[in-house]
Amino acid sequence: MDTLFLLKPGELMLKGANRPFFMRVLRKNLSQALREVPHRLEDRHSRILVRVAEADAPRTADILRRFIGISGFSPALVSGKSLDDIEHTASLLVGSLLRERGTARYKIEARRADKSYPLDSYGIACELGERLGRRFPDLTVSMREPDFILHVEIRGEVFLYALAEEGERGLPVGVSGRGILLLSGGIDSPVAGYLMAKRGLRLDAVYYHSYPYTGREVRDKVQTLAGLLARRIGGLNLHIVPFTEIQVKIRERAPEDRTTLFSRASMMRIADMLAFRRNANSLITGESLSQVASQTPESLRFTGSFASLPVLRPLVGMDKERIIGIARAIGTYETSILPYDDCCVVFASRHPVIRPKFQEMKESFMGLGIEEDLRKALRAAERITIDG
Amino acid sequence: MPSGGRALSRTAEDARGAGASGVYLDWAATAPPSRETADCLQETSREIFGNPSSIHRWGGQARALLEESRRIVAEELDCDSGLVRFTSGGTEANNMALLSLLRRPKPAHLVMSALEHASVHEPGRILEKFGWRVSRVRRGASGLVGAAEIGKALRPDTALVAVMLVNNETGQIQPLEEISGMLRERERSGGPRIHLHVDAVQGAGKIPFSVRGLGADSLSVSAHKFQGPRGVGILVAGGGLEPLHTGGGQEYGLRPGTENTPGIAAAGRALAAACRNREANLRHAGNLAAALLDGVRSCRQCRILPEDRLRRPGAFSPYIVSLAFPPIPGEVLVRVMDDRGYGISTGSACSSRKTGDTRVLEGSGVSREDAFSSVRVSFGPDTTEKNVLDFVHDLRREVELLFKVAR
Repeated sequence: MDTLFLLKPGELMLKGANRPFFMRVLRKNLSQALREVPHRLEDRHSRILVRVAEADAPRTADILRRFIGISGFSPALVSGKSLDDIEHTASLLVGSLLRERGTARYKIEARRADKSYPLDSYGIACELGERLGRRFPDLTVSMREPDFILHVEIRGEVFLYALAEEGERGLPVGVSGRGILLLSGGIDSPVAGYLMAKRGLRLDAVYYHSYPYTGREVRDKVQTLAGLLARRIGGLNLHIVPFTEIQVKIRERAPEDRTTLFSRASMMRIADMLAFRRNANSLITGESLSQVASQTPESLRFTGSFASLPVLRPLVGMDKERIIGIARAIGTYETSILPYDDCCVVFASRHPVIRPKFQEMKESFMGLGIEEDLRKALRAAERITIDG
Repeated sequence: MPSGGRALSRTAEDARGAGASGVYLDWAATAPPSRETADCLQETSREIFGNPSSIHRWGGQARALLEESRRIVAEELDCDSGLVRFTSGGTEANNMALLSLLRRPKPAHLVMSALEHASVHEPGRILEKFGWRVSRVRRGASGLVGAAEIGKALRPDTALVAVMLVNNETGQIQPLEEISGMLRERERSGGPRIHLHVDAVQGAGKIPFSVRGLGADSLSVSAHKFQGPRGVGILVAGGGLEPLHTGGGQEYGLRPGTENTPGIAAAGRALAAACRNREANLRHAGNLAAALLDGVRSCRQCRILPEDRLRRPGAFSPYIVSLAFPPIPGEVLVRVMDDRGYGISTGSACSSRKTGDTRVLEGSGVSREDAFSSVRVSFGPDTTEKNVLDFVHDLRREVELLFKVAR
């Protein structure tokens, strides 16, 4: 017997004329997420129906629980069209719920899409309610405060479902285009990427590697983080940009207290160039206001000015506990806190500028003469495609 | 030398390095097992598999091998063979000696040098949680943790003193005869009996000593440091220690569990081999250390750790040399030299100036900055003078390049 899942799309209802496009992306993402589970997708008006073999139901539910773009889903049973068949299937459903709860209040909502069916919606609800009431003395009807609603939909087949599980919500990944995530080995950036993926951005992540000043273990850690994120958002590309020469030149040419900000500016500039190459429309960072010296409003203005595209900073107003909470929920926290840092002390300013003067800093950066090095670094980047 | 394990080249970055096989200069971390060790492990695993506790001939055969190994170890370390207990390694041996104190009726006091390996330092912290008080003694004006320094830390209720023979980061040798002499002297003049534990992991098979000569009540050794197998240690201990694990009563009840006969047999042989060649190897290591120190001394910013090493070469094991090129982080230098084909090591981590473990070096009188930049070079019998000269040559070049970047 097949198991069916009825999926309720997230915010798609709000999207008016864009709805067909959003649904198309959602279906494509679903097929991708379920690529290892033999399945069939069917459109049911405002719902999507996923049909899988019964044995695949648990892993399908696992995938759906973390799938971005649906607000919820319900496992559904299929029944034959006769009232006896419907009663039998409904008993299976109700019986298992009662075993969990003991007693329950419920109501039936029936829909008859197949107008040739002898009973109308009201008639089905009444007849089925009476039969179930006889079978299950612990079941009481409550129109106002039901513990669950037994849905009966009569179409070519008859679908019955009761419980809805919460989905991840958000917009289908890809409907907002592509964003470049500046990914470090820390706690914040994977969270930022995840939140923006939920606003519909497909991600390309960029990591700046300063070997031998940072070790291969940091690179491995970032790759692991990218993999964890990819699993949540349906895949991403990771670009690893060799950054040592740029760090060294900044170190040689810039005043000590500016090296951190100049490194950040260089990263932003390279990410911006990468965005054009990747046809992306925005940059994403894990910056949170005034968390560190390079994230004061003045510093954000300076580093942000190296991007021509909008810089999305979903964590800008969040405190650390909240960010850590999300990192734990999406499973990146444990990797992020591994003790390998992505920046070597050799390059970090001991007392970095906290309130950089914009014009002066811009001119000072231009004076470094590293524009060509930034382009060169991007050309030398290594790209790794990670499936979701 | 045996293959240094560079066969698993991971990235293009490795290709810059010298030679395909590389030069292994991290013998203090672990020594490549000798051919004899590998052969003995293999043969014994296959042939003498019986449980030494079994009565039948297979058990008897294994028991004979076990006891023969015990005799060999006792002879090489100069102690009664009835005191030799085989363990799973140096860490377990040290833990057994220290945590045995938990079996005493009430907590008291112990003294250890501030230079101890984590496998002594950390059990000390556990004891503190159980109410023991621990004095950690830094080196004194003499540059040593000697009898005077230890003596000052003793209290009427001091139960144990732990001082390592050869420090694993700097190679510094502590004057244990002097310390045990002082303890026994106090005992003779009516003082209480104080247990002396010696971590000899970096000394066994390398520098001459004997358990009797040191006057140790317990002493720990690890087989893989002298080209024996991983997973075998030795605790020389008299009746004063109580077990924390119990079971079938093996190893005089101190370390129960079916004995690792193949590992123990290989360990005994490796120790005998190391001791047989000890004098020649020690001279060789002395030449290597001298060549290294000579080669780097003139290097800009080179610090030899601790600073007084050059003045007191006799107080250091020539097998271990600690260097620093501040402000180059030790970790960075290790990576760069790895790319050049040399395996060396460091204790502290880049970028975590605050959290890097510099406890031992700082206890040796090294500044935090130098400790953070430190690298350890360690030799073995297979290291050649050419290895060291090549290393010095490449090190000097890399350090110059890194200095251009470092502030």
